[in-house]
Amino acid sequence: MWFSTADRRLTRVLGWLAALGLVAGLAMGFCIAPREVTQGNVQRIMYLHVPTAWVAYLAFMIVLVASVVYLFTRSVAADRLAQASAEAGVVFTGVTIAAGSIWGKPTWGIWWTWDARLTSVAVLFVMYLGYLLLREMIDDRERAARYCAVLGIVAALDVPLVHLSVFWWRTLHQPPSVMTPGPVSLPSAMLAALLVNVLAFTLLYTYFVAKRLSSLRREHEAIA
Amino acid sequence: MPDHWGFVGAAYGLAAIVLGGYWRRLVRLEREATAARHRRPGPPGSARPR
Repeated sequence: MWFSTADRRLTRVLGWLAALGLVAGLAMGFCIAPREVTQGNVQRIMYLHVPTAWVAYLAFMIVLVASVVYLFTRSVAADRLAQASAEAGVVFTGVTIAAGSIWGKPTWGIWWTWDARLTSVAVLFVMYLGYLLLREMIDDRERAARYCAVLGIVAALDVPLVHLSVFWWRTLHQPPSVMTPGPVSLPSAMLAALLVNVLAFTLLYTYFVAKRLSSLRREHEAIA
Repeated sequence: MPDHWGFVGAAYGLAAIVLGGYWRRLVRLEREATAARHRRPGPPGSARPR
């Protein structure tokens, strides 16, 4: 009971921190960061697109780790974490794709192209949608958890492919400005706006996962 | 290059709708799970005699 109350309080604090972070991120992205010279103000979509992509990477890496832990230990908590993180990862990947597509139309002249980066992200999105469908399709909880753990590990192997695709193939999508082997090429105000938004969306992801974990735990208690 | 504020608004607006929608789903799931837990019958013989 005490744990549950403390848990709920922590989740609420996380929610407020995420909300404050998002407000700070919007202020940084729209008021502090300068207008980009070549792209104009449409570049401000990057303060949404890049952080959500980072959070999606993080979410699927957590699915990978939790799935490996589940297969070794059969820990229900690890399975719940994988499920919660996969759900949030799908949501953030969807936002990344949509924001990127909306940015691509005025910048590239097209909504979508089948280049290596965009295609590998689309494959990642579809694989984790399949992960969520698989979980719903199997009634036996233990079997669903086992199959999903295997799929979660296989699908996560696409994450490095997504990140490195812009180095390995000629793509319309530009290489990363921050997570790159060379020096960071962004002006400091833009970099600060980007980092604040990365922090805010990471907090939002953590809040979503905590909230989903709480409902999964209660569902489990209701069934048990 | 023109600023395309409409595209900027569309991207942030869509993100707000998707993330807000997911948050509402989480709140609903949590509420339903709590209600289901409270509805759960106790173990046999645990009912208090009147």
